[in-house]
Amino acid sequence: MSEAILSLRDLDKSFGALHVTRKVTLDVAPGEVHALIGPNGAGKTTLISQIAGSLRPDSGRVIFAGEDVTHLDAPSRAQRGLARVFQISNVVDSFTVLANVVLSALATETTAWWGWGVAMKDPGLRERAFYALDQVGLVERAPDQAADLSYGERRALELAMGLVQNPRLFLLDEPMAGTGREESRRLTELLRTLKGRTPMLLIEHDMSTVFALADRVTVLVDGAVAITGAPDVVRADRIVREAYLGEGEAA
Amino acid sequence: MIAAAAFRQDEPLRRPLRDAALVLAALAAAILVAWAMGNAWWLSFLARVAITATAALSLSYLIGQAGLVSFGHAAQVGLGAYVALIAGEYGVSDLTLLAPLAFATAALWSAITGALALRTRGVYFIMLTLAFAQMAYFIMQSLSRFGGDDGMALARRATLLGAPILKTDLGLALAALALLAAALIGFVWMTQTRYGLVLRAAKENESRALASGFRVFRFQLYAYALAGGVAALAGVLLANQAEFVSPSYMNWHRSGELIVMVVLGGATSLPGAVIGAAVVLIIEEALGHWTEFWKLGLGLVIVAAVLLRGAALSALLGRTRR
Repeated sequence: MSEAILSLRDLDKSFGALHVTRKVTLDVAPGEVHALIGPNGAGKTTLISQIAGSLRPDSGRVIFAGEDVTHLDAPSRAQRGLARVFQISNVVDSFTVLANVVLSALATETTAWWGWGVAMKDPGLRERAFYALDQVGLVERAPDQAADLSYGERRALELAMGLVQNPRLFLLDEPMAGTGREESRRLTELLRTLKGRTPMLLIEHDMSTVFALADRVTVLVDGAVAITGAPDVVRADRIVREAYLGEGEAA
Repeated sequence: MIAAAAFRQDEPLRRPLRDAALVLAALAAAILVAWAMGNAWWLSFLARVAITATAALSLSYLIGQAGLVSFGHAAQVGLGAYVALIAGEYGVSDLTLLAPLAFATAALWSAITGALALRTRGVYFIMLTLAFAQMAYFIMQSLSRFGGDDGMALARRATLLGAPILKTDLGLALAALALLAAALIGFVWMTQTRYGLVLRAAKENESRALASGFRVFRFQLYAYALAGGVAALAGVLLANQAEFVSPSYMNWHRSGELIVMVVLGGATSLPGAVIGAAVVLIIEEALGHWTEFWKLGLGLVIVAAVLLRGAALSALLGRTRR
């Protein structure tokens, strides 16, 4: 699968005696929603950090859009089109919703250094920001402080901050964590509208979200890939049921 | 359509620019009154206020906008003073050369030391800036050719295109006011530019800025160099006012005093730094006449200011905790 947007090759990472990532090989195809599931402590977030560039693997390679980015830092990977949505929503609380998206839009321009104009008045940046906010249904909240948003709205804001950069891949770290049932349903709906346009690597605990969105599912157990396949195949797999789904699906 | 919707936040510059104008107008009025009354002491004091305020302002930009608490900012002021002294010894005392030279020297020093200090955060950053300032202090102390520990008198006051504009007390006060005005309006404006937006975002949430694709290190290094350069310009004027330069300009007490001024004015308010500088100097003069223990009075004012606006201090501490 040489045309994959993201390829991990034998990624390996240890913290001292703790072997958190074991020879992980994984591909995300263009347009695909690829879910990454696994029990707590399986090393999902560590893996995401290595993909985003905030953590360096001990060995192995990360290939993004055909380029080996293993040795690039997080900003460089972001500039190449990798948009990360954090497990704990990560926005600038004291900024308005609009300012957060304008900030993100700036990152894809080479002109962040220059210009004496007031950034928030820049028509081009505003238009891009409002377009992204419109896609996640946050236009009405644009003038509000990000700190005042609900949990789900912060997720949506983070998605808008990713969208405004026209990313080539979304890295979503448990987007449903901490959201209520209604918010979770709306976010799933929102992600469904983005599906097909932007490929996603989705880490999620919420199985209904995973099976509603994912084209393929990879199960991570003890830092290693246990199985990769279509949702139905994975759901039926004995190893997976024992290692992970067992508790939830047995009922 | 929606993009045309007007928000309160669309005028983020109105209030700080108004505050800046008020502060500058008050200082200008005071200078004119002192001049009209022929009070040389007041003129010279007001010039010192404007010069010190410029230094405090550049530190306020670092602390309030970039989140970089430097405990060595007096070194950059002192570097400017030493550039004025040393260049004067070699016959260079025109501001057209002196000002860029002082700015570039301090900006370069800041860029080199900042590149190392910025690899750390919080308390470690504070300690490293202090250490580099002490290095500068001892380097200047060892330059016996330029006065060493005792300091040295300036060869002559600086000129502008040959005109002796710093000769009189009024000239010096107006030059200091002009520098302060340019720095204040420039810094306030910068907070709302693209660069300023990124800098503030990085201050509050560095991981967010990194994940969005900004190389935070470069943005902060640039701010550190710029603030150092502006502080050096204040140092040039300071040297011209005292007509004397010594390593004591770089003493860590002075760096601490600059932080006090910034905190007193509210760490995130640029015009506030000007007020903070004025208040500290006024207390120093007023109580200094009465008692040697004037710093006790200053201490009480700091305590009161911090208690009354705890937010400013907690914001400062919040940054160092990371």
